[in-house]
Amino acid sequence: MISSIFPSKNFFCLNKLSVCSDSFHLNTSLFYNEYSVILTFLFIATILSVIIILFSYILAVQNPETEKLSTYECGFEPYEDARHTFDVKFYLVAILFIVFDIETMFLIPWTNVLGQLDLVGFWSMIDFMFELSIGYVYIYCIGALDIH
Amino acid sequence: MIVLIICIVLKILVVVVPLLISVAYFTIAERKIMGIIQRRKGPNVIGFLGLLQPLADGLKLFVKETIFPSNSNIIIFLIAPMLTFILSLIGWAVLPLSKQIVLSDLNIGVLYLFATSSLSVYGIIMAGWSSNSKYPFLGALRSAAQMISYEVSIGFIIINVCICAGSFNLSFIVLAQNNVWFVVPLLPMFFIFCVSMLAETNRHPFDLPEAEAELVSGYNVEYSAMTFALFFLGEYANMLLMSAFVSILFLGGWLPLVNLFPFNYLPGSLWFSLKLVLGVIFFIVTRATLPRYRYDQLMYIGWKSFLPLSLGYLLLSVGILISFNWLPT
Repeated sequence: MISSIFPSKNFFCLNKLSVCSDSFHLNTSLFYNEYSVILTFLFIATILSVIIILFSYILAVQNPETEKLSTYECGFEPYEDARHTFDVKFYLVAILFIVFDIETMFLIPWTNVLGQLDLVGFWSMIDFMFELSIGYVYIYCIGALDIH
Repeated sequence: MIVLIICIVLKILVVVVPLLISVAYFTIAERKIMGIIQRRKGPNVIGFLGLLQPLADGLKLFVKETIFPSNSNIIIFLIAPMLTFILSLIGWAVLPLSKQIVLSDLNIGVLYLFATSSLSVYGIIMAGWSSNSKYPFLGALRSAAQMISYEVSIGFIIINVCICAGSFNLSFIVLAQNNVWFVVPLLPMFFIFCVSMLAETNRHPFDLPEAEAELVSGYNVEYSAMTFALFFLGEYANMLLMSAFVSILFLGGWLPLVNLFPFNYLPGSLWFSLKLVLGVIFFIVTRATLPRYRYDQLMYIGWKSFLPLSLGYLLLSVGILISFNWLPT
């Protein structure tokens, strides 16, 4: 049963790469061929953004003064700190987001191996989605999704 | 080793430099098309038909004064635009521009794109919090709530496409559409994705965070000069990224319209860019034609109609694929 739910094929194995059975070798080749490019891309993007800001800061004439540096508040002096309270609805949205996003993350490995699963693997995830929809109906009914 | 690294750097620059140029020309295309829609001329002074306007705008922003507000957290204030810019660039590392033309052929490319587009919330939150001003703070809160709301339905749509393709590799998803583009079997998902990508990039009918009448300019009120320009570039690069993403997921990426002689003779990158331009025009025309949504209506659409609809469509397509045994193995 366990082996049918978790098939022996490595989840990260792609069709073109699944020929190499040694997963360590697969991971190292993935790193050298694909992830190193992404790492270099990250470095280049960082360097580019630093260069853009730094050169603009150095080359342009900087002439700061108190009024210019004060907080923008449509004319009058800012009389209190901006970071005090905010509507709890935003917090609630974030909490609901976590629940449904984790559901998405939970579904992702299932999608890739669905063709190799038996019906137990299929129906257990359907059951999971059904139970989550009960939770969704509940938050819908108590009005957690209404924002005024 | 050194040669290899130089090779990689050159490859990346070949992607990044045209990307920045196309972001610049995205802005002028937006202004021109909106001018046409509103029956005025748009920018037409600098260069031939105003085609050098974006360069002049960039130069103007470059020589302006960079302002760090006195009661802001300067480090976070500086990191926020850089983060937005970096995240909008590194998404392009996995996009297949044509057959075999891809920087990094990741086996989990869809998840990588999903992760980078999710992380861009952080740039906005950091900008709003570190400015220590009321407008940016409210704008950032609204923007973050809106982006994470629509990300849920985008996640379900991506799962739907991945089930039909049987892989997370973007090239593989495109090749799976060889017979029929996913826009045909997943038409409702295509529409939901198009609307969600407007909300995800804070674009017009959903540009509540930047509602000029209420919040001045949203989370980037306190930014000036190149720090502002990085936000600007990041947003437009994100829009291009989402257009590319929708063309890969639904419109068949580099595949020609029909696999017949005059169409399949054209190079795949041309087809890909045509589909990308289609997405860009969609962004511009929606901005020019639709009125802005109210904030509660916006959240209402995201949570009460898109989320159950995408979840239900996922169940429907999985059920059809299972019962007719059409699942890709």
